Amino acid sequence: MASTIEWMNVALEKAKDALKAGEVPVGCLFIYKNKVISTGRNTVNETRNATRHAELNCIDDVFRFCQLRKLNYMEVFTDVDVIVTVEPCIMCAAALHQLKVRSIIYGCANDRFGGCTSVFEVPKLYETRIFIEGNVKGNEAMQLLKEFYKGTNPNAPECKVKKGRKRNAT
Amino acid sequence: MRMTYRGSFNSDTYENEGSLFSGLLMDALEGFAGPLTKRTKGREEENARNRTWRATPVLSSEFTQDSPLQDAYVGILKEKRNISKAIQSISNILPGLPHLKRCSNTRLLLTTLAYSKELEDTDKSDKDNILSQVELKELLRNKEFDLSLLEDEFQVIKIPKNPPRTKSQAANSAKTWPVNFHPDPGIEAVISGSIFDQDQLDSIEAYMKIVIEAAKLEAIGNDNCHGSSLVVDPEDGRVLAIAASKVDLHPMWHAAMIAIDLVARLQGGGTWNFCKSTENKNEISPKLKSTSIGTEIKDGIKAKRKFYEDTPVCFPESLRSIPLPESKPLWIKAKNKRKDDGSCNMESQEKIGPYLCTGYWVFLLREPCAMCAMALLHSRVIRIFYGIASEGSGVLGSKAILHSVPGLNHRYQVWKDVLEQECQEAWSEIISRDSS
Ligand SMILES: [Zn+2]
Ligand SMILES: [Zn+2]
Repeated sequence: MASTIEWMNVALEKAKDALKAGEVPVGCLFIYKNKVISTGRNTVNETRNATRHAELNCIDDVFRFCQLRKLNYMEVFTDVDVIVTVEPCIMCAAALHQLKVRSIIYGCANDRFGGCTSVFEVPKLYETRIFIEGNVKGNEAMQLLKEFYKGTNPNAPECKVKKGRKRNAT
Repeated sequence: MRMTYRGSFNSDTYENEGSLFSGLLMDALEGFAGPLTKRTKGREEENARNRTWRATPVLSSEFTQDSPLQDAYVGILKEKRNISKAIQSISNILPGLPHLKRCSNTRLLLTTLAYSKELEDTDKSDKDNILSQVELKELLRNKEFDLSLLEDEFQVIKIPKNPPRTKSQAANSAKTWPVNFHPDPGIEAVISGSIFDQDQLDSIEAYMKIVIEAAKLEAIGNDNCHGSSLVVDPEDGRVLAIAASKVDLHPMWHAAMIAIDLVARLQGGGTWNFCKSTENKNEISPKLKSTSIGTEIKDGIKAKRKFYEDTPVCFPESLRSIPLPESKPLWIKAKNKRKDDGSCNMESQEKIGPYLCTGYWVFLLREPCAMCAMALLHSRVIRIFYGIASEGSGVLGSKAILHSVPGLNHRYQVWKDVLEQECQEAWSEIISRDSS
């Protein structure tokens, strides 16, 4: 049985993938019966859809997983543990509460949109009590975010870097 | 003249941490010039058009509640002619409160009872408590304030703690002490309803009727979220997407979530395969064909809609059968203004990358859940109109006012009660259909 820290290491790898793809570096795992049934990262730029956060991508994945196996997704989600490198935003925290997942383990706080504690307390809106734990390898997750927002990421696509320069110039 | 209450409307604040009502700021950036026409005979015309509803702005308590009060010391001038001398010397010693005048008749506002930083050079050891009259007098004497100008005994009065944001708050504050206040025309127009003229209200009504129709035709939701949605580009009034909730097909298919993904499709993106999930029904996925983009780059509207010809995109597809009103702009852009201020707006788009739903208006049958409300915020819509509240789960007025939460760096403006009665009737119809 893998530890929370080990799971978080896997999620951090997904976050690095996102960074390479020029997306906000957030990585996420959904764990069911001690197995990773979905990994996800942000795909906002790729899909031109601002809601395509790692968590929502994983939710879609698990929904398909259940359809293929003819499982009741409502039951499956209540046994899912979510490992995510950054505190879920208000939208994702609400989605996870509506699906009644078992736990949410996150890395660093999300000061801009955090929906567990940082900006708005989504758990207060719902009757379901989900076990939530933050600051699991938070520094590493934060480091990736800093890299992204500084725009110093050497793997970022050319156009992104240019845009950043233009912005600084004006 | 103190203008501090306007502070949150500068663009710095907006970009860095978000003002509490930056929707209005966005209006300024977009060069929103108010009503499209210059008709001002509001009341007569309103009666003439016989509207049964009024759009109620959903505002944060900062705009709707009066400021809490706090205690302050007031000195009484022995002679009124010494007033300017007294104001000048007290101002050098103790800063006043920016939103309050220093003087009311012969009363001079000295300072609040609560210990403040400015008094740190007094020898106060226990900082957490309250400034006594003796301590205050000692401080004034040490700083060479002429105490003989004032009556011996200071008064303690209640004054409003926060600056007023609206005319009505200012009027209430002024009952306790004279205030410095400069009404913001944008805020006042939102509160009075004059922000929309009759033509705009007609358009809003027409869009909401489509939403109602869509809900009646297709909406299948749950306790978290239920209803239908419509996205419109206010620049030309074109309906871009219409959706009804379909949580029977996918737990995340709330109306707003679907509409956001349909708009992403219009920009060449999108995630959900709406086709597959409805295979055996008579719907087909919105099939989009790209128009020749190269020649259209110059045209801002077309560049951001690769699939311009295909609007509106609908899910479920049957919603296509709903007749649409003629598209007409919902606001006029002041072109000269846009060049200067618009750049800041473009910049925030670049940060995100795609256009998303930047600047669009969204119509919803019901107040959205936290997921949908935040999804619309991420997507940078600028205005949301809904018909009826979702008491159990809505966060744009019922359980919370999400768009006034401090720290969020984009905000939209929200109105409720649009075609309230019709929405309520549609809602009852859907509920009885669901339970039968
Ligand atoms: Zn999220
Ligand atoms: Zn929703």
